[in-house]
Amino acid sequence: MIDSDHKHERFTRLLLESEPVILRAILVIIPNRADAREIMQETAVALWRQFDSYNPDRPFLNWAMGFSRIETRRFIARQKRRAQLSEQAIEVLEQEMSGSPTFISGIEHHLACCLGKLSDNNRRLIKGYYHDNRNVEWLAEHHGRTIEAIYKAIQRIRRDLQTCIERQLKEEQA
Amino acid sequence: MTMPPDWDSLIQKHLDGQTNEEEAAELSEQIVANADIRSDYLRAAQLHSALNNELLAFEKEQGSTVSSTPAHLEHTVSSTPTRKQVPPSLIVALLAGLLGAGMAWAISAPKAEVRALHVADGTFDTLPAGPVQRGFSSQFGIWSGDPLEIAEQTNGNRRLRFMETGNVKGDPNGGASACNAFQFIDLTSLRDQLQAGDANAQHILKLSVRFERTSAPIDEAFPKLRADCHIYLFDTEPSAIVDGWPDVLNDVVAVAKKRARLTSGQASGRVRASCLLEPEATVALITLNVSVGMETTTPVKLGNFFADDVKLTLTSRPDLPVRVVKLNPGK
Repeated sequence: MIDSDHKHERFTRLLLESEPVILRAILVIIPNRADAREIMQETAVALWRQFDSYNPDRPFLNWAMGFSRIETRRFIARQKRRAQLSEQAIEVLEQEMSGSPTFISGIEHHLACCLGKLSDNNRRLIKGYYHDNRNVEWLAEHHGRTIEAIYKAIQRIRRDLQTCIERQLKEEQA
Repeated sequence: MTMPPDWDSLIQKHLDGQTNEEEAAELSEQIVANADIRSDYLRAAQLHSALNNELLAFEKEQGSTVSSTPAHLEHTVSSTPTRKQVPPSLIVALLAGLLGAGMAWAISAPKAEVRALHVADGTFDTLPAGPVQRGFSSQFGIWSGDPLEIAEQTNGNRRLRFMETGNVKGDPNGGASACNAFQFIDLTSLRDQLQAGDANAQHILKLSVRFERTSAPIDEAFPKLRADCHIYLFDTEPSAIVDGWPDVLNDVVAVAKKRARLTSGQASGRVRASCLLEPEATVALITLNVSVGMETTTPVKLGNFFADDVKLTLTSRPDLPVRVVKLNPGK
């Protein structure tokens, strides 16, 4: 029983540590949040089932990422709700991501600062979309705009944030 | 004649789930064949992914205060998952049921709450450039440790520099294989707040920090150095921890550790260590250290090894709404 509890706690801790990184990688390939979280759940189930075969001398994250890639493929094969990238495109993106692990940390580091530079209205909109999980229909109604205008605004804000982050990254490297 | 697609707009559309099969196929082809479009997609998708981080502070940052007060909440970010968005702890509860003799499912998803706890001078920007207090201080809310200094970059950013390994207790015959930075955080008021809330909730402490190593003369002798961050939870006074160090580690309530190994010119990204916040814990000791990975009693100069942006968060999840039903109870 103690061994079982210990194993359970160890798995929980490792999963909690790795979950944000795995989820972020899934979101690059499957941008829809609900879909990405579904894949994360399937990944967690698969990881637990195979946890006895995990070698603790190896990084848990690397081991777990292999499972998330498999679950991503399984998800794409079974769901047809949204158009997804091709298998070949996913492969090249995964290769590129594994070659530049520090890129995302650069984004994270500067994102909070760049969010602070947005107008109150734009920050509310992007917070509603990402943090509060509001759909565009809800945002359109509450912001008094059309759905199309909300999509355009979100896309424009993302571009602004990207420009801001890249400028800060350049300044940091200068 | 048809106009070539605006790839940037197509990428943005895809991130919002607005592309149709034909457009997704077209974008896929470009991602495979065109390195520029692949790079554009990755940058845009990684930003989209980072925006989904539940710890991200969407509100404007309030002015931070330097304090040696008990741990308090700097900001709160709540996350209310939809039915499908079940946090890992619930998944684990589910798994425990699935793999045992029963079956479990979520009745409704719980609300997870993430709060930032105050780490004094976690960004090091409010500290003056120069040496950090030597030795192991038992005071709450200050950095102390082996030879360390606050170093300023050309852009004005300040960070913690690990100068050389040492023995924090000053024992000339003691080991000096690591350079440690310590800070005590008082958890008593936080514990009182949590006890007043949901008694069955699960609380997870997460410490995170960024390490960076730039070139220095020692790089050849020590091509790889280890950088660790730890959280130790105790139910005793800091002075007793200092006096009993390191044997007192046998009495630790909970511990979390994460390691990065860096060569010259490498930055670690965010290194995160997390542990369950046990109800009896009254003190958190957070440590950052750089070690040479071998036993030595002689201090070793560490060149240019830095830590920055130390954060401590608390994730609280209420009692998990999981129901367990026996499968084939007759067998």
